[in-house]
Amino acid sequence: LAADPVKLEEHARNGRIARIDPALAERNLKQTKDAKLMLMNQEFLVRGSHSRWNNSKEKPMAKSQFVYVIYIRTTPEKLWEALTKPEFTRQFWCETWQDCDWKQGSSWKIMIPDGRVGDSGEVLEIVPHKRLVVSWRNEFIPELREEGYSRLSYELEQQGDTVKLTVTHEMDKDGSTLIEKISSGWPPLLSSLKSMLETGESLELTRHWPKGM
Amino acid sequence: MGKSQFVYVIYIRTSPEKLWEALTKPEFTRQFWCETWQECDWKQGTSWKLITPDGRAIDSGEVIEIVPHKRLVVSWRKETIPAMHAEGHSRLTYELEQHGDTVKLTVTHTMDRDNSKLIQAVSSGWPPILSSLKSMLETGESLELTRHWPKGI
Repeated sequence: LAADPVKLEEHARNGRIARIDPALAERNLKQTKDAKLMLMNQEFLVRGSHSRWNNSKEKPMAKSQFVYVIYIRTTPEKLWEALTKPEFTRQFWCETWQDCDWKQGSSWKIMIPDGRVGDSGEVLEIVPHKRLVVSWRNEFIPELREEGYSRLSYELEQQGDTVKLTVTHEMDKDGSTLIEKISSGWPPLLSSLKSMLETGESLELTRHWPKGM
Repeated sequence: MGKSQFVYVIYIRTSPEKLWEALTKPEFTRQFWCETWQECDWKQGTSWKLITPDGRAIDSGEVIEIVPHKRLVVSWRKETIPAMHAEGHSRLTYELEQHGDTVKLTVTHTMDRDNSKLIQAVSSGWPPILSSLKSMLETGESLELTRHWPKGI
């Protein structure tokens, strides 16, 4: 669905999260960095933990960002496989698969079942079972393609018998339409990923590529 | 006016009725929400409290809006942490929408002021709790992570 934002938005219409407030997203990300705090939903006082962006020496720039955290009862190894291997992504990610050899600097593509390329980019950083960053440009919707490359990162952290997965999708421009679209695309896909890993069955909602797309 | 807001959307393979029960009944919240339960008769205008296993009301407010199986809005003030208590009441909204064999749950927690400490805190609290709720409804077992009230708190 993230490869197919328009249809996705139909499926998962949600005006509230469609526009990401970068300041809020940044703040959310900051909090999610501190694993210990996650457990205690109310009683703790959050101390500022620093995200890599806060520590960056780069000058502040325009940014659109979507951040989502989900806890999945699985292992980092299984989650990594589910995120990268075609036999798994086809189940929870609308029958798409990624054409990639998963090495830093290699090209990366999301393939639609009819053979078209949905999105493409390259692997910017890869630490198996821990962290994956790819650049990501939409290829089949001209308006989105024009925006150029966004960055997607997955971070996996084991916490007891679960893995905390943090998905960050961002673009260095204000008001990105791509980030707006994927913001309603990621929640159903990641919900479906969790269902697949915990129950063996992805959600029906994300099992097929939408007709006519 | 300033605003702090946390929004989270999760899709759960269940029915709106079962999800509603899980969100409101003590026997379910105790499983996925760190052994807490809500003292409330779930009518508009009545008081609402979140109670810890040792009997303290850590958050309280009232039911602002309730449409069973669809929408619930409560006011929410932290009672046990002075810096958050001083911020006054926030608003928590659950919205439930059926999509095929799943329910889309949208959780919105809002406070009408900038840089709310409460909203900052709940922003890292909701993802594990809602992940655990989904696990409970889909597999019968909540996540170990959120099954117990943290010691010493």
